[in-house]
Amino acid sequence: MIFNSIPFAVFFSCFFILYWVIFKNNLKLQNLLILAGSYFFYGWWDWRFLFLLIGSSVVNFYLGIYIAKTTNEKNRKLLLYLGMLQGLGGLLFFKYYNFFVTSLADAFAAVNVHLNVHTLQLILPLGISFYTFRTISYLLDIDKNKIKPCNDWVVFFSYVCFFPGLISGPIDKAKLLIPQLENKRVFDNGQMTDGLRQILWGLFKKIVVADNCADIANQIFDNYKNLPGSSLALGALFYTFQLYADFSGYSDMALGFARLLGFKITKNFNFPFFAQNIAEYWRRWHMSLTSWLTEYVFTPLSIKFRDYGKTGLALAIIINFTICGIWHGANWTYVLFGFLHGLYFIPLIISGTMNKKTKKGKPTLFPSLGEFKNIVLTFILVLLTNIVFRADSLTQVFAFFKHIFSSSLFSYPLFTNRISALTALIFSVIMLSIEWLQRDKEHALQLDGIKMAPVFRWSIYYAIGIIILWFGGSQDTFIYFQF
Amino acid sequence: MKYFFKRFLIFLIPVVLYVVLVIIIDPYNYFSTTNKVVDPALKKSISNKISNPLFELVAFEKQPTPHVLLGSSQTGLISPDIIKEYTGNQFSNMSYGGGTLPELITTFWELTKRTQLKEVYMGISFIDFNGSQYRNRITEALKIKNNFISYTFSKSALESTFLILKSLALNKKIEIGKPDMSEDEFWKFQLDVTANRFYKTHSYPVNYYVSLKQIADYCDANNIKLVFFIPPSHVDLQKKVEEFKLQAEENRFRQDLNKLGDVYDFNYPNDFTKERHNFSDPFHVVNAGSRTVTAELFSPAKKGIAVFLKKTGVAVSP
Repeated sequence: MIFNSIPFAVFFSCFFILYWVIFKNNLKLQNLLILAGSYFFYGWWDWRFLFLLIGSSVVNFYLGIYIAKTTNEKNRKLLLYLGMLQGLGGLLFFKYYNFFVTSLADAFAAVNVHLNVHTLQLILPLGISFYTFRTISYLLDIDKNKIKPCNDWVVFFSYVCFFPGLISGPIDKAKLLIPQLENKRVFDNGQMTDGLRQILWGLFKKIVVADNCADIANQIFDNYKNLPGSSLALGALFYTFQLYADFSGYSDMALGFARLLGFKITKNFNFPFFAQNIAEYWRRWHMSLTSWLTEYVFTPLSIKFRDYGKTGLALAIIINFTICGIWHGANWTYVLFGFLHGLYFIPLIISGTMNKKTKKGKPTLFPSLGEFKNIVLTFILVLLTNIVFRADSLTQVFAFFKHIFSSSLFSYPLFTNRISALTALIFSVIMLSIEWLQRDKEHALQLDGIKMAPVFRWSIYYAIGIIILWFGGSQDTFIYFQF
Repeated sequence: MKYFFKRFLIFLIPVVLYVVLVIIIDPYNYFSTTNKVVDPALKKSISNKISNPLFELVAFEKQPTPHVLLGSSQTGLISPDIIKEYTGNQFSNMSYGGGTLPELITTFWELTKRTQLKEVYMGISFIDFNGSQYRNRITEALKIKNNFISYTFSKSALESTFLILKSLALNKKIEIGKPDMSEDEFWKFQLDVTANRFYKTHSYPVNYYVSLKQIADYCDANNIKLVFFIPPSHVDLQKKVEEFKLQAEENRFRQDLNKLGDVYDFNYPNDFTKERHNFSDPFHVVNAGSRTVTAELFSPAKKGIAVFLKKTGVAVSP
């Protein structure tokens, strides 16, 4: 069941009415409904993996309580490692088992030792990377006394599986979501309306921009051997737009649906293509993952390596981003993707500008020349690594780059369908332009504070709706579901 | 809360009106084939152009036939009425403008779910036999016709409804997809742009051939007559194969088709394909030409404009 599907529309409509009309005055029942609805939402895809989700919730619920109760530091750590082993063990098994054994076999094959390894036909449980990171952060925060354990199993289980963010994030930390689950939610007309607007914008990004870009990007990446470098460069551009519109579109919808239920969950994107360096880009892209990794990976590492100065910092960054890459999946392309992003930080570390924040003044209509140059350069760096991210193998990565950086880069680009390519490009530019103008807002369709007659406001919503119907593409999944 | 629900319901009024409009006009005859609110010919002239696959698939679902033609626009020119004159059998022509091999394959399997097929004629030209052509509108059309909501809120239904209303309001025929150039210019365009585009990206369709083999095996197992034909194209277009040095690939294409079933090959230099008057553009025959092709395929009195290759697995080229 995906957000832009008919089953979800029916599910959410029923859920919304039960939640706000029938169970309005009973917090416990509202939470039970969230739990049941989330399991229904998850089970719709494959009910067998519900056991894994429930099992993980049970284990972490009790571990959380016992970690808090345990005063002996050694026992406390033992319980923490047990929890991490459970979470990471499941993740490693489902996501990385085949990768490890085949990589091991390949490594031995390189020195003429041929291992007879067995790979397994595993289905990756949907959302496992996301809910595992939620539970790990929960235990780590209890261990560090940042939060108290949750004693209400309905609240905790709902936190682990809260359906708006279950499949593709954001990775909400317990300190943000659990207090909201424990307290009564208020029906706020403004929040509801803005939630709907955010969903509409998410749908536009996903269905109009991402799905149309996907058609072109898929054509180009599937046939890169037959196409000139100019087409491949445009393919990388379309894929970059697709990736952003797909994932941020999903996140916008997730935030919107959560708001319709009275929750404020973690913002996952803050217009990353307007970042002026790679550090800023990561502060704006997949923010919940970046924040998670910064808190639980980068910070401990940088403390460990602090005696090595800038070298230690670079090492911490590179390890952090390599882990970020591997988190996406079991493929050497993801390792390289993360590693390259880590390398991108080195000039910033050397110049001491890594943590330099861009001045936040009143947004101007156009960027200055310097800002524009920085934005474009950062975008190009991201675009190049997205080729690695999209490729099926390292062989494809190198072949793709070889094709791009050939004399055919300056030839006329070849497409099977030029009109579709043009449509995708126009909508990508429209999306970015609107986001540029609204970059000081929570999301691009936030119209609060803009004086506008209701008729005009509603006309905008209808127009976006018609554009979604008329120009919508036909992909039926989200890229980040595979992670 | 009441205020929110009230405003939301008011907001939905135009959406409800739109749904009612689609139900009344029913551009693809999804709800009923007997809906005469709008002239069926007008509906067909618009909807069949906007989404040829959706229109054909809905029509087939309402009235399935065991005899079918599959292919691209070149096959689409063959009229089921003329075939009926020769054979007495009612055929459904499930060919699509700009149709691709994956579309043909998906359509075949979809049709097997709807009826017990008896005869399948597949028109496949070398230009279609291309691994780089992977557009498949059928999966989307099937999703659209899957249920009432996806149909009503599909781009096809929206666009067709809008154009039908426009045609009714202006009392004017709406031309869709008509090239904005003279016949000569279009001829040249098809040769220099369209053909080049296909041949430049030609690759052997390994996966599609496997799928065609599965179809051939299925037809053998289910006693379905499977006939392939290579539709005629003008010699100007045939020469393009040489220009792109794809003669070996074209021969392999003929041999491979012949391994799967009987083949009628219309596409070689002869009096018919040399004559420009037989073609509206280098890809497509005119109506009279289409009648000749139909007669060659279905009438006992053949004129010998096609080379007939009996399924032997032996490579033969004209």
